[in-house]
Amino acid sequence: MKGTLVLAWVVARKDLQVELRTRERLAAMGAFVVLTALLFNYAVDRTVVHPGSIAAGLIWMTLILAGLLGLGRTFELEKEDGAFQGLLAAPLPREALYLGKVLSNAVLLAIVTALTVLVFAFFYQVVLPRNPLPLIGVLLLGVTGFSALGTLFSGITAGTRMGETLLPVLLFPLLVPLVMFGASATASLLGGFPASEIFGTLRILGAFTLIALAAGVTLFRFIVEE
Amino acid sequence: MSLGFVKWGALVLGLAGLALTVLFHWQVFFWVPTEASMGIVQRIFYIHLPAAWVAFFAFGIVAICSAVYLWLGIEKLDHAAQAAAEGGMIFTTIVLTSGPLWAKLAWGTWWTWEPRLTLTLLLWFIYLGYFMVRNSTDVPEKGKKFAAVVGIVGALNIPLIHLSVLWFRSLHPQPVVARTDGPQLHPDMLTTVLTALAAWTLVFLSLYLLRYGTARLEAAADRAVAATRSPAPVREGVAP
Amino acid sequence: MQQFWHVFIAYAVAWGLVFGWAVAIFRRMGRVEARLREAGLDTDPDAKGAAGRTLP
Repeated sequence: MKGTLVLAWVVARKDLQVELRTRERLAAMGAFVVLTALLFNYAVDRTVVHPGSIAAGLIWMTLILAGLLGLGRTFELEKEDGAFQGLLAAPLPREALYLGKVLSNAVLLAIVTALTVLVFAFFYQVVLPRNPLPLIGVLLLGVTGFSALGTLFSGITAGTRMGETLLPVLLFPLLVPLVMFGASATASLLGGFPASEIFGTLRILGAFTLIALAAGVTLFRFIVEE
Repeated sequence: MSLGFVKWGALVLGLAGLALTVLFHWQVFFWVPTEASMGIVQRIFYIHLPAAWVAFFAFGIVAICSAVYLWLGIEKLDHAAQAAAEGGMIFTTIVLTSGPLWAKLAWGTWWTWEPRLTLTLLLWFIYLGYFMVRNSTDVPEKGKKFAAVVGIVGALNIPLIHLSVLWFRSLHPQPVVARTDGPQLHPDMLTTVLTALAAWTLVFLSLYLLRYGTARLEAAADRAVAATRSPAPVREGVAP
Repeated sequence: MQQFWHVFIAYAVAWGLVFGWAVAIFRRMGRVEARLREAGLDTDPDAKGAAGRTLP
């Protein structure tokens, strides 16, 4: 078990190092987030509703769409030169490969999430709570669950002809609990409610993340088998 | 299951299902009393609820067969899961058409964010993903495994999705059949809905067996044709 | 009157879909049988096969 986690970290570090050098996915996702936040300004009639007052929902939708952009490319890196075959041939349990990919995706998503929240605070005068820890907790939990499910499905879509266009069809129906409870907890926290209000929500988000991780760890080996 | 069993099973279940279907249509249109507050449109209920039951029952078959298929790699189970998914999608579509037709007259709107209706819509999309994944791989074996994973993950998430959509307040009539303090339906209505439930289940199982048998036959045909084309294999009885 | 229409459409759609599924299955079955006959194989799974060749 410990060995698996260490190996997962090795995989994640490799991915993050590549990302650090090219910054392709981060740049694309970051630009996507800022531009989406900008478009919301024109999509919403500001005389009727201020984007700031529905910020939690907009933040989550932006996040999901930006995440989709990045998650779809999880296995893109390994497509060249048969790198994926090399990775599979390495003395590496499939669980470690999956967890490593989840971790690297989660780190990328966390960075994008921080950017999203800051962009909304900047554009729409969303007041961030004085104690940011509960908000960070909710968002991190959401990001981990999203990454766990997204990485598994990204492994599937990478093996199909349709590629990443298939990802939302598979992923979105299952993201309902995440978006619903994530957005509602975020809304309470941005509305200045105390953290004790969202414990129930946190539990469901945690359950979602655990189920997604357990399913991914168990099932990932079947989708990368030759 | 041998193919002979499949054939006779489908026949017997199909005939029984057909007989019950005729019976429940007679009950629905001539016998059961009209519901007082909703009127005639309430009769949609007698296909809506059984179809929903079959849709989720079929998804249970998909999940279990998929899981065991991945675990043991028995091809039959993949065919069983695929056949159930096909039927499940048909019955989910029935739920999604009869629901709005009822809602429009009972509550004045085609669509409500009613938990069970929303859950059924999401189930429909999970089935859609199941088939899209299955049909978009170059190697069929891969598509089968992908589809199985989609089926299992979908089934694992359904309780959580259900919990989530319940969270949004419900317009739907509260569960009337399965209640601890005894059913609140008029006894004739209960009889009718139970007949309909049995009829739909039998019809589904019959067609399901047929679909499964066809899939088995197709796989066997693929193998047989491949064997007759290639010159090498030597069979008992036709050995040189 | 609208009520009757809604009930009618709901039942018609339901039976149309189920019937359509059944037809699709039987057509599929017909195609397999035609293929098997072309290959000179038995289609009845119970028969031991006059030609001495049954499905694997």
